[in-house]
Amino acid sequence: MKKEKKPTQVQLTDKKVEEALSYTVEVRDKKGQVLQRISAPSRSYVEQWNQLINIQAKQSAAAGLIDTGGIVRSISPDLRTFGINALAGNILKGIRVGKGFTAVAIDDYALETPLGEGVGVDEFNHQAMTHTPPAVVGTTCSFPIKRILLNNSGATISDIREISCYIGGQNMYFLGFRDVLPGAVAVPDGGSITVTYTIAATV
Amino acid sequence: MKREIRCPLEDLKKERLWYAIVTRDRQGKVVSRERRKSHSFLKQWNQLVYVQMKQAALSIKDTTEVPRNVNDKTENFAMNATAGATAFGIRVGTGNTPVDIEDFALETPIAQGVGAGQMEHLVCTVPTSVVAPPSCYFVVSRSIVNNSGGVITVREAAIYMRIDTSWYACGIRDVLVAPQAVPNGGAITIDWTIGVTV
Repeated sequence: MKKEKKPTQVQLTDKKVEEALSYTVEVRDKKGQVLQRISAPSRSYVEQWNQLINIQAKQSAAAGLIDTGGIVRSISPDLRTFGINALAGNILKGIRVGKGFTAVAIDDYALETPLGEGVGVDEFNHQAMTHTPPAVVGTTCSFPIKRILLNNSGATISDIREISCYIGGQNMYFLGFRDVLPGAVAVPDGGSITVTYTIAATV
Repeated sequence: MKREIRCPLEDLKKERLWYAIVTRDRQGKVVSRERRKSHSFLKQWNQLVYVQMKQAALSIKDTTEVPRNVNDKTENFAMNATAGATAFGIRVGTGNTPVDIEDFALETPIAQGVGAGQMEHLVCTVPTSVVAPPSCYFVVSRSIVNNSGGVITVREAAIYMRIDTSWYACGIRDVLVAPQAVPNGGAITIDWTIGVTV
């Protein structure tokens, strides 16, 4: 009997494939002076991001997506999906920050302790989202999305530990990605926190 | 002799993008397998993400290299091609030039049909995402049959996706580690996994 050769398993050592995500957080005082800057790779896209890509790819509805209010939704392909183009004061979508510090899990559906819109205690004035078109540099194509949050609360807002981006899905909103910062951030009264996420693809 | 090039599955499950290719002869016997990390999302993928996030138009090259003014649309990212449709869904080709971020199509795409160098494309399936902590993923899959009368050697694969309502762009392309010789009457099946892992 002919003996079949056992297939070999090859561990390839290609450079890491990325559709990478990274962030920068910058805190300024009321004069615009930078007090703190954090840059890091993001952890991470969460399940709703993948589920929405899937709905678009298969062009049919899927159930079981949890929106940022914790409600289970059925979503169809839609032109509004992934929308983050929030105007000033709109906190339904776009970049948000919070005080939670529980590690990111794939099934996170919102910030743990989101900070609201306004001038009350622990509230920020959320400015409009800004977007810069994708650019190719070397082997990477990337684009940044950015939001400035102003602290007009009358006091320092401290213990900011989490950042995220809420995205559209039909006429509802979902957590696209969330990160826990390596340390707590404090924004003085009159100051601001600017969060920039960079979405990149590298070959 | 069956040829296998396979990354350990547990390693691949941590990746955002990977593929598995199986080539079979006319009796359905596996003659070759390849499973590895994917190289890679291309410029058009990122541009389409941008269009949807900003909810505004952007010029994106289609698979014929024509710049198109692409708007936020319900059809964006569609990969669910029916049998015989080659405008979108998984495609294969014979080119072997390494992937470049600016690639806008396969280098040498294999057309639909039973003529020399042609293959018959079955439906491109896109099942619902699966959550398996710490990951969430879905698999885009297509079998492509060789009824051309001769052997066809596949060296590259891609996912073409719909952009706006009536154009198509290459979102992902890979050059295979080992060329896959698909015998007459045989088929090549590509499973592309798109995932996120925390």
